[in-house]
Amino acid sequence: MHLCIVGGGSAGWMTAAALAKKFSRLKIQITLVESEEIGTVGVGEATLPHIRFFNQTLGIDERDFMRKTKATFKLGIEFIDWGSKGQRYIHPFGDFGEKINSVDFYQYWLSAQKNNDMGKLEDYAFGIAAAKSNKFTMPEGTPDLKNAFGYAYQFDSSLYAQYLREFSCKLGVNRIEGKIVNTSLNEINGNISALTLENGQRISADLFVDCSGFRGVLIEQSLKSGYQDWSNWLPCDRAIAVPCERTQQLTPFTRSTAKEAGWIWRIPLQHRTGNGHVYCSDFMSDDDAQNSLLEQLDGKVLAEPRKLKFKTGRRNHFWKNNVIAIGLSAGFLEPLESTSIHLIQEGITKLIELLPAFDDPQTTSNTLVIDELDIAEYNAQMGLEYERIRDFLLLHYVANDRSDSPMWTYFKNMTLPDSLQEKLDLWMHRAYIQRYEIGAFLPPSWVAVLLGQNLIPHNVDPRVQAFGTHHIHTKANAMREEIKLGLHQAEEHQAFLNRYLS
Amino acid sequence: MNTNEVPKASSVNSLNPKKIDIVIYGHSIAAFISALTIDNTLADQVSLSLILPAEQTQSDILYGGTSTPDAYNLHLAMDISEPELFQQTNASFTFGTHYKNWLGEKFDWVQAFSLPFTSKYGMDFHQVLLKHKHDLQVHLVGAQSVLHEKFAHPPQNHPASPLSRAEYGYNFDYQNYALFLLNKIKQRKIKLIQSELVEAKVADDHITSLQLHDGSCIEADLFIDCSGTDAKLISALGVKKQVHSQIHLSLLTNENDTQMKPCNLVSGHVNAWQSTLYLQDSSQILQTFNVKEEPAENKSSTNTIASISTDIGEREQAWVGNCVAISLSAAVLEPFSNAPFRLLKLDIERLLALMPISNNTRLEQKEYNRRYRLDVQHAKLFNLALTETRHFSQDEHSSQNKSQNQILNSESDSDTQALLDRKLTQYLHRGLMVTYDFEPFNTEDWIILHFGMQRFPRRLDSLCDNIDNSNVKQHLLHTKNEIAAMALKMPPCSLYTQKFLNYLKRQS
Repeated sequence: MHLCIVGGGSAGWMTAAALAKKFSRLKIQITLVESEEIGTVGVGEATLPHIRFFNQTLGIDERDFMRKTKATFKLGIEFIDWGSKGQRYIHPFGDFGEKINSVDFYQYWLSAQKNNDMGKLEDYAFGIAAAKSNKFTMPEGTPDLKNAFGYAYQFDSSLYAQYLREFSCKLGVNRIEGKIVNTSLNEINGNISALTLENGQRISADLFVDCSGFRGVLIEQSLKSGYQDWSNWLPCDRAIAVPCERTQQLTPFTRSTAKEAGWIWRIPLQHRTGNGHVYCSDFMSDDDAQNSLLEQLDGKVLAEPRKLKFKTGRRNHFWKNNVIAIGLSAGFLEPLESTSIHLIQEGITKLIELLPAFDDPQTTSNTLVIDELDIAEYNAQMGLEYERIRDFLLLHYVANDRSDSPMWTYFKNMTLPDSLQEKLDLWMHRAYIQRYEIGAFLPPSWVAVLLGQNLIPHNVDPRVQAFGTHHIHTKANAMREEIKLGLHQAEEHQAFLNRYLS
Repeated sequence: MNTNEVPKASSVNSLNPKKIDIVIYGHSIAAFISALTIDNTLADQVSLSLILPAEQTQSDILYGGTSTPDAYNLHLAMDISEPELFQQTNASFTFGTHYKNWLGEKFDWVQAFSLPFTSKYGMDFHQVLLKHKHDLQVHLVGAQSVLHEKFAHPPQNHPASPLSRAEYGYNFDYQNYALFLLNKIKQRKIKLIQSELVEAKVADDHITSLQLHDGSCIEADLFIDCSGTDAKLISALGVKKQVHSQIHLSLLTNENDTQMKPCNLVSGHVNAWQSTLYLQDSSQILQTFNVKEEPAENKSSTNTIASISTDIGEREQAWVGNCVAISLSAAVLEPFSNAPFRLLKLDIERLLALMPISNNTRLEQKEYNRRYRLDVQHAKLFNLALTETRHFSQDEHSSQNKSQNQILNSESDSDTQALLDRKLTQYLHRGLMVTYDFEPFNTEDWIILHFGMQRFPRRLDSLCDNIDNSNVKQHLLHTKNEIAAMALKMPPCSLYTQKFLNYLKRQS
C-alpha cells in the first residue's frame, strides 16, 4: 500500500511517525509531501496527558524528546478573569479528593462551604497545589492522592514536528519537498489518484492523509467535504502568536487570560515563552488585538507576530473516499483547553484501528478497496470527539459573570446547544454532572471549570449527610495532609527539569 | 434575564430540614434492596416506609437467580457481608453463565466474568487470539474453572496469579434471598406496613395516595414501585409498556442435586430455553418458552416453585410525577443473561444519585429517564446479540437475516437496531469493538460473547501483521497452560464452599 501524507506540520509528522512505527513490518510505503515555502501553523504548544501515551507507543524516550523540543511539564491550565475579572483558578489533570461512600468529594466540600471549614477545593488536588508552588514530580508509586494526577507537556510544536520527522525518516518514511499544484481524481470512484507537484513530479498513492491545515487541500479543495460552521457558538476567528523571552519562573502550567474579545495564552517553554491572542474580529480589530497581546508579554519579543484566520467547526466528512483529514484540515477548535494536538492524536489512533488493508477479501492484489464501514465508523467517532470538546470549550465562555464587553454580552444572549444547557441546569440544581465515558473531558474537568468560574450550585447531593461532619473532616484533613506531604517531596519545576534532563 | 444567564447561588442551600417521605411498594428483591440502600445512604434525609404485600412477587424469578460481580459492592452498600450471605442463605459462587447447546446446539461457551484483558502486544488481546486462531475460553480462568467445576476466591494482592483476573458473583434462590433481605430490613428503622394495595389514587400525573386493604391511606412525597411485573403504581399513572414478546417461566427445584457448579447453565433456543442454577443445598431449573410459539400447557409439577407469564419489554419512562418504577416494574428482559440483575443495580444507583431534594423533580425525572432508557437499550443490545445469528447467513448485511427472534419490530426500536448493527457489523468486519457510554456489559463481556457465538471477523486489525507472531504464539501457549494448571489445582466448588462455611462457623 502506498500512503501519502500531505503536509508536514505536527499533524503530518505525528501521522507519519505513528503509521511508520505501528506498521513497520508491513509493506506500507509512506510518503510525506511538505513545502518549506508554505510553512506550518503550529497548532498548539500545550498538550493533554494523552500525548505521553502517544510518545510511549512510538517508543520515544521522554528525556530525549523533552530536550529536543524544549519541553516543560504541564500540570494544568490557569484561567484568569474567566469567571469574573480579577479571579483565577487552575484546571488540573486529575480529580479533587477521593470519593467517600461512592459520592464525589466535591459534593462534601460544597456542602461544607456554608461554614467554610474545609478550606479550598484546590487544596485537594495535587496538580493544583504543585502548580501553584511551581513544583513538579512524577506520579509514581502508591495509587494515593498525591499520585492521583496526570501531566502533559508544553513544547515547541515545530521542534516536535522536526523531531518526529527525523524519527519517521529513520523508519523509512519518504519525505518529498514540494508544493502541490494539482490533484487527479479517479473518474470511476472519485478517489484521489495522484498529486502533481510544482516541479512536475507526480505522486500516486492508494490512501491520502490530508494534513495540509486550514485549506484542506485534498479533503475540501478536491473532494468538497463541506464544513460545519460552529462560529455561532465559538465566534473567535483570529489569532496572533508571538514568542518572547522568558523572564519569570518556569511555571508547570499554561495560562489563559480572558480578554475583552477573546483570550490570551501564555505557554512557558525551556527557551522562551509562547504567547497568543485568540479573538473575535467582530469585536476587536487586528491592531487592537496585537497591542493587547504585546502589552501582556513577560519579556522581549523574539519574532514578528504571526496572524491566523480560522473558522471554528469541522468538516462534514473527516474521511471521504480515500482521503482522511487529520489536524486543522479536519476542523478547528480554539486551543483554550489544548485540544489541537489531542485531536490529531485521536485521528491517528482511529486511523490505525481502521486502516484499510490489501489482504481484505474484498480487495484485489493491486487495488485498495476502502470499506464504507471503516469510513462511517471513523466519521462517527471523530464527530463525537469534536462535539464534546466544543461543548466543553463553550462552557468557559458562558459560565461566568462577565458582560463587560460586546463579546461577553454575545455569550450571555446565546442559545446554548441542548446538550450543554441540560448539563448546566443539572449542575446548578444539585451539583450533578451529566457524565459521558467517551471524550477528552471527564467529570473532574467539568467540576474544575464550573466551580472555578463560580457556578455555585443551589443544592448538593443529599447523600453527603450520611456521614457525620467529624468523620468527613477527618477524611478531608487526611487528604490535605497527604497532598502536603507530596508537595514537600516535590521539586521546584526548573530544578526538576534540570536534573531530569541533565 | 438573558437567554443563558445562569441563576447562580451565592452558597449552597442547606439541605432540606424536612425529611422526604418515601414509600416503597412491593414484596420483592428490588423493594428490599431499594429500602436497604436508601436507608443506608439517606437515613437522615428520608422517612422510609415499605408496604409489604403478603406474598413475594413471583416475577422475581426473572432475575434468573444470578448476580454480577458487583453484587459484592451492592451488598456492602446495604451493610451485608459475604459471610452473612453464605451463612444465612443457600447462595453459591458463580464465575458466570455456561451456555450449552445454545440456539439449537450451535454454541457452547462460558460467559465468564473477567477483569479487563491485558495485552502485551500493542494491540487488542482478542485480535491476537483471532490471528492465532486461539480459543478465548482457554485464556479465561473463570471459564476453565466452570468447566472443571472448581472455585476459589480470586486473590487480591497477587497479580501474577492467573486467578486474579477472574471475577465472581452469586447464584441465589429468589425466595431465600428475599427472606434474607427482609430480615435485614426488620433490623433497621424502616416502617413496615404489611398490607395489600387496593388502589393507587392518581391526580395530575401524580400518585396522591395508596389505599390499602387494611383501610389505611398512605401518602408520600415519592413512591417507589417495586411490585415486579405487576407494576401496580407506575401502571396506574398510565405509562405505556412497549411489549416485544410474551414468555412463560416456571421455576423447578431439585432438592437432591448438590453438585455445586460455579455457574448457571443455560441451554435451548430463543423461544424455549432453560437455566439450571446450582445452590448450596439444591439446584433449580428455570424453564421458559415463548407463549406465541408454544402451546401454553400447564407444565407444573410437584417440584414447581413458581410459574408466571410475562411481557418482555420496557416502559417509556420509569419516573413519572412522584413515582419511580424500579427494576421489573420498569423493564423486563429475558434472564438468559444476567441483564435483569445489572439493570436492578443501575436503577438503584441512578435513583440514589438523583434522589429528590425538593418537590420539584422535573430535572431529576428527565435525567433519570434519559439514563434509564440508555441503560435498558444497552442491556437489550447484549441480549439481542445472544440470539443474533446473522453471521451464519450468506449475506450478513441482509435485513432479512438480522435477528432470529425479530423482537425488535417497532419504530421506536429502530435506534436499538442501529446500535446493534453498528456493534455487530464492525466486529464481523474487522473485529472492532464499538462501545457506547456506560454500557451495563463491558468490552470483555462482549468479546467473550462474540467468541462464544462464533462470530469471526472477515479480516483483522492491520496491526496483527506487525507483531512478532512467533513470540506471541509461545506466550499464548504459556498462559493457556498456566490457566489450565491453575484450574486443575483449584478445589471443587462444593468442597471449597463447604470449607468456607466451616471456616465462617469457626470464626463466629
